[in-house]
Amino acid sequence: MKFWKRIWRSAARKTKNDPAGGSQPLSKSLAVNLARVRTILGENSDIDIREFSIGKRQQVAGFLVLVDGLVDKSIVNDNILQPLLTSARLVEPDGFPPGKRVFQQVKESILAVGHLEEVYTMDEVLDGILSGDTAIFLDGNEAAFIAGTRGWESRGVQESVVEMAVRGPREGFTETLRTNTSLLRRKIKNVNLRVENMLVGKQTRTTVCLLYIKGIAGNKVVEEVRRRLEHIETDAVLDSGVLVEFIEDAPFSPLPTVYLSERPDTVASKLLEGRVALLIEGSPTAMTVPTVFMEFMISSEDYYSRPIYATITRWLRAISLLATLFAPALYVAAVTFHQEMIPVELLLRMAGAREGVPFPAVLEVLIMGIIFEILREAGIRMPRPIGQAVSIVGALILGEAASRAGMVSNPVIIVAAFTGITLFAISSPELSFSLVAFRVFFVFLAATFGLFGIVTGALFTLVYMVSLRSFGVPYLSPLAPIILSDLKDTLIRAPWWAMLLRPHFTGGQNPARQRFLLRPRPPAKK
Amino acid sequence: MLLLLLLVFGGIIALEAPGLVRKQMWGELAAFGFLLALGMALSMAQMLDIPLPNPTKGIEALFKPMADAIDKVLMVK
Amino acid sequence: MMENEQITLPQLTFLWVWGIVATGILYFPTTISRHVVEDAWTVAVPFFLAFGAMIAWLHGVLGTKFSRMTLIGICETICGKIIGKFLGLILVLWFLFVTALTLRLVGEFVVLTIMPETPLIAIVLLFMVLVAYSVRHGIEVIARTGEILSPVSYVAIAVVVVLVAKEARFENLLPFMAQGWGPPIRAALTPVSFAATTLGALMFTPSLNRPRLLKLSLVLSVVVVSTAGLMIESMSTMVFGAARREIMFLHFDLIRLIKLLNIHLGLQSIFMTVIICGSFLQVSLFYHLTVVGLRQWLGLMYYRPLVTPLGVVIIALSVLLFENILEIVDFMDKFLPAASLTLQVGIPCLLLLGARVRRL
Repeated sequence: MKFWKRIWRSAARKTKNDPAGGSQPLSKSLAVNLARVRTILGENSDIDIREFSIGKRQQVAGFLVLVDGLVDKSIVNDNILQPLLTSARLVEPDGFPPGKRVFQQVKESILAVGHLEEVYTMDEVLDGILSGDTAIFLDGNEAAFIAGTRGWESRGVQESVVEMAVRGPREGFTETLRTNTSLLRRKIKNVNLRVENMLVGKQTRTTVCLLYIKGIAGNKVVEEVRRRLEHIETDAVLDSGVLVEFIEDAPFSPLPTVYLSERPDTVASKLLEGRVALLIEGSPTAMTVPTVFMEFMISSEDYYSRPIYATITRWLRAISLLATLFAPALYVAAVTFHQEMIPVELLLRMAGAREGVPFPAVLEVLIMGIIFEILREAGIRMPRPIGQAVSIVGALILGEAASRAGMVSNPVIIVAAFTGITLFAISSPELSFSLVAFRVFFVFLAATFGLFGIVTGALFTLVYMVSLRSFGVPYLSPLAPIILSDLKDTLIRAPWWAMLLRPHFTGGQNPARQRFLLRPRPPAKK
Repeated sequence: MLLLLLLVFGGIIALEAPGLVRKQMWGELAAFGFLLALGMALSMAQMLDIPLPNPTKGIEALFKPMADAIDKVLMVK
Repeated sequence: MMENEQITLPQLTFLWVWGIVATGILYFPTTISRHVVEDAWTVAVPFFLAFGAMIAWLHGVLGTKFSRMTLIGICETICGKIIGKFLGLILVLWFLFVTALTLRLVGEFVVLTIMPETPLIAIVLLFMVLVAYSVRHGIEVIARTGEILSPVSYVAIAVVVVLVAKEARFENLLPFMAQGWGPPIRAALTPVSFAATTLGALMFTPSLNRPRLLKLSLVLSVVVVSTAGLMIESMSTMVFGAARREIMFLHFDLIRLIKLLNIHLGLQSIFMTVIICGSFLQVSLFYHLTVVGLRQWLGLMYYRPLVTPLGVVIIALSVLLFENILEIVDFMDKFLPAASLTLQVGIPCLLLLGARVRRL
């Protein structure tokens, strides 16, 4: 134990040292700063350093640094270089005394960019330019400007492919963090929507945005998320999936304990429920915490369609969940142990179909299950036209041939196909992938202990789920512990005007969502 | 079979004991050890068909007078 | 110290409903049939309800009076160190016994009805692994599991009763009270002795969020059980009549009869599921309070380390205690009431008396 700790510690020490020495303050001398920028940035082909001098007699030297491709060239040219080189001449010749005042003047009357900040260390300069801003140095100043010039090629706002919906907004998050926060801002025009930035990843310096609505989200949860983010010390977080593994409560849980979404409207509704959202630069997937199991059974569309329809859909999803978990196991148990529980006519049919099949029911079900999963995996990664071919070959030809040849019985094919389809009825991909593991577990228990095994396994799962917590919120929460007012939004979806309170565990400190008696009524007759 | 049983007990000890030692919960460790020894003795005896005193018989003997009294009071049979 | 856990009163009520009746649904009809057939339903409503509620009330009074302590602590406070320890040990051993008994009841049921070729020990072992796992998670998790399972199970049982109603013949309930008062009261003693396990609730009064309402909660669970008992017992008699004497696991057979649109529904599997879920809660509950009581009795800080080894003891005991199912039913009918009432009514009465005498 101790040995490993020591190795880990020395490794950690090694990664901490900082070769650039970037934390030093900037120098007063332009030449020194230039030299340091050159040494730190080295021979990078995508870094542009543009030297210039301003003023009527070109008395103040300066240079700007930017990363080609990350900046919007037109802003740099029209709003920074152009004024510096031309407008600066209009100022009185002695209007540019060297030193501090030049700096003020340039800031106040020359640079025509919205976002402009003064920074004093090389680190801040580097962070700025590597994020697509432009750094401007002027002679005789211990500070530099960081001008907001971010603008790069990116995917436009498109409909999310993973989370489709019939009704509701179609836009989805993109890979650009700013676009994503703006999508949320556009939905929640409220000063209380806080957007905090944090840098995560020693090598990648990825910006992670922490969003919450102050006054609705619990301070403790926000504090805890911040603490967990600060705790991360790793090379890279390239996608929200990586970040999830660093911050979730149950790292070995087969069930997802962080909610992922690509839809701004979903994330906005989570924010309004008092949850905290995390957006990460370069990933179109947002995370929200705390997460409860029910969220995975709900699609954002439920909230836009009629309550009765949404309720029925939710029940269908719940049935699909149970079916996809238990159908194969129940089949195995019924065939192996409990023939007396099957109605006689059905039993005869099934016995007829199973006649001559060489494998026991467990093996049949497992084999078909594996084949189905392989087909799905093959279908997902293929380009769409080939994917369709795969599914046709797999489903029709393979299934048909296998049952014709008497290798597997027809009921098993029905069960496998049914299980597969019901799995797709669950809208969250995170959840549906993890269900496969449980299904296999249940099949094994069914093969050894029959129905008793299935029930035991189900209870195991239930106890496990009950014991899970996500950022202090019980995972099964409106169901166990029962929160009566939250039950309006679980297996039923109450009409909007009836959902008076925010979810207890996330919005509990400021529970009132809306005014009482909002139900539309005909005007009173006198 | 016996080996399997021993393996199970070994597993329980390996899972629980180190944590107890690390947290210095000696009282808990002692209770743990005693209960596990008891459980081991009981299950070994059952596996090897060694006759054990049956607590049920003890309870029955102890409460027989009272059970009879109840029947008498309620005039059953 | 208790691990910082909190359970609410509805959770407690849900738990004790199963604590009283989970395996009882299977075995009470058999023990009741030994004494009464036509009047089986009277066992549930006036008699069980009256006795059970009284006992639950008694336990509630004791628990509320000392709401900061567990049962073991109460014993020691009232009776002093030595006698208190002795009483505490008896109670802990009693609950150990009850845990082993209920575990055996579940095992027997599973083996006799759906898994005839599987050895009892395998069933008991698998079940106990599950129970130990949940007990290690603590009472909060057990209570929440109960909260999620109970409503579903109640609905399932109600549906079954309604579906069976088609086969019911009212004449089977007559004659009314032909044997007098004795046999129904005698028959009620077995369920009542399970109702008396509400004493165990005092093992975790400190983790109740509102201990003042303990009485209410316990009595409420007795009321729920007696309502269910009334429905189920009357239905069994109405369907089977005198034949119910001969049938072990009456309700299992009752459900086998259910037909809808001329198809046998195979609802036994649902009944089976409900029973296993309920007995899971029952065994977990008893197991938990045994472990917690033992921890307190030994003066330890944490109960979690005791869970697994005690589980081994319980498994061994559950196999050791009885030879076969007849012996179990005999015991439950004849000796269980005597033992249970002495320990679980006698001791709390003594404790209350002692508290009065010592003006605590």
